[in-house]
Amino acid sequence: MSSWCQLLLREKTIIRGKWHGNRYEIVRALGKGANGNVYLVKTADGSKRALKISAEWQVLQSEINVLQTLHFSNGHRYVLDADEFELAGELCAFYVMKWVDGCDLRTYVQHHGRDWLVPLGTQMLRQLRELHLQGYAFCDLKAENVLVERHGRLQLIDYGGVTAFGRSLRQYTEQTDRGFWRAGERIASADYDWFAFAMICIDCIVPKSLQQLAAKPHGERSLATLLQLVEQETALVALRPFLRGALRGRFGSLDSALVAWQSMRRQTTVMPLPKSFSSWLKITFACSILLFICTILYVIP
Amino acid sequence: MKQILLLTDGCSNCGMNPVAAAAQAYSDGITVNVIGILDDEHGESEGAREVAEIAAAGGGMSRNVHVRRLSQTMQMMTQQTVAHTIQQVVNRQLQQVFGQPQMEQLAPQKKAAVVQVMDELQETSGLRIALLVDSSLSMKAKLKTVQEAIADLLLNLRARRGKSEICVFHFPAGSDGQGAGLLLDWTSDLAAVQRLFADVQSRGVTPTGNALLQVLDYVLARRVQPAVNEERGLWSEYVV
Repeated sequence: MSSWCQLLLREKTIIRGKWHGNRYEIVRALGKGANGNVYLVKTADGSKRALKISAEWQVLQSEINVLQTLHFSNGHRYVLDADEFELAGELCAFYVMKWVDGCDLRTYVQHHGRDWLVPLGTQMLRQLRELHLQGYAFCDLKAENVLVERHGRLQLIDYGGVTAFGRSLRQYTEQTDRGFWRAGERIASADYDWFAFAMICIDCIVPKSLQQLAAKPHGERSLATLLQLVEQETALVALRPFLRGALRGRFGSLDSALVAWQSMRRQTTVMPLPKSFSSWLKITFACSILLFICTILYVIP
Repeated sequence: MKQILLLTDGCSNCGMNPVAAAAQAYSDGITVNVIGILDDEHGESEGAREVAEIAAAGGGMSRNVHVRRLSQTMQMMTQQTVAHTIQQVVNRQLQQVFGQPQMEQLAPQKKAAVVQVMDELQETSGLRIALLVDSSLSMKAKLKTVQEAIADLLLNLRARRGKSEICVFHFPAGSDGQGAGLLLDWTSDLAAVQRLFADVQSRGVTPTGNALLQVLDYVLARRVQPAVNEERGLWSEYVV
């Protein structure tokens, strides 16, 4: 269905809410999703917000309904304003949320190092737990929806997929979807989020191997092949106990995933030395032994 | 709620006119959605036109896509058509009760309440989708992908709270090759979808219209086709 609201709005376009009368000025587009476009906007007092617009007002209203029941520990509301405006005679619905200025998790870990994965993962699991305690799952968890701000502060964005436990998913992303990997049902649960979380971790550390696996035909994707990848990749060694539990859906209580994740912090080094380095070490060690034996053989007679 | 989803890659070439068959389904309260599995997605071919006409007559949606996008198209279509049906039912109820002209014009708080009701119906209503798959010679190489897409769709449907089932027919089939054959009875069991087309022998003709009517009878759970009942409302078959 083509619609005016789906077209990208230009910079400096003014949106005025029909019911609440608030005024927003478009700064630039932040993203284009299946259910609408997200823009960076300026409010009347000049502060920056993110604004999501959709022609499918029912879909957007359904998101708003869920988001308005959520409580955040910092006391903030997620939906700051929800309204409608007319564009070329057509009704467009929108809602306004906090703007998060950061870069996505994968890029951040690639640039700043894998050591960041554990503290960032802790923050992500805490934010998921906050939802889980209210009886909701995030569901559409993917690297693009995890932003890292300055000083390594992590923030989940796009709560549009948030679904009450036990309900069918509203939206999901193939690569992190348990159903895509034939590893379980598409029903909202804490397990579902932890599976997706594990997939994001794997994607941050061994993206190429994961992409190869995801490109395989439907019949060859399975939980078993994922677990095999986890066992094979030496770069994942420190994460293995957690990943096994998360992929298999073995964590029981809502705290267990976080506890399992945090137990990794006690290890001295999370990531092993690069493979090339350790093999180089082995070879020189073997050489030195050989030299030692030669010396002994030379000296003793 | 009951729907027929037709997957085909070309024109029917024998038997009843498929557009008329779809119109029959619509007047019996069953929506017909159609996905044209075409190599050229934007082509103005005869097949693409027929796909659009069948869906229009059947009160449903149509899309022409490459086989690699089949799975996501099937899911999107099912979600949208179910939402659309519920919206129509709710809209009619609202008009009857309040005489409201359009749901769109409701105030925000009322809208929120209406959408909540619609979401609830969408999640909990019973849903039956009869899939009718063209297995003529030209489709043979694509049947594996079709099977995977069906499995993926079923995974979505199973997650709903309401009872959701699919059945699968293919055509051409039957002793004369002029109709449809049942491959899978109403089920929500994922294992049943494995090897769905393993024993299907692809044949040449495409009797889309006959096959549609046969599936319609099956969906309506009647063996002999009675005369069209004019009294029956458009949406009476939807178990909402």
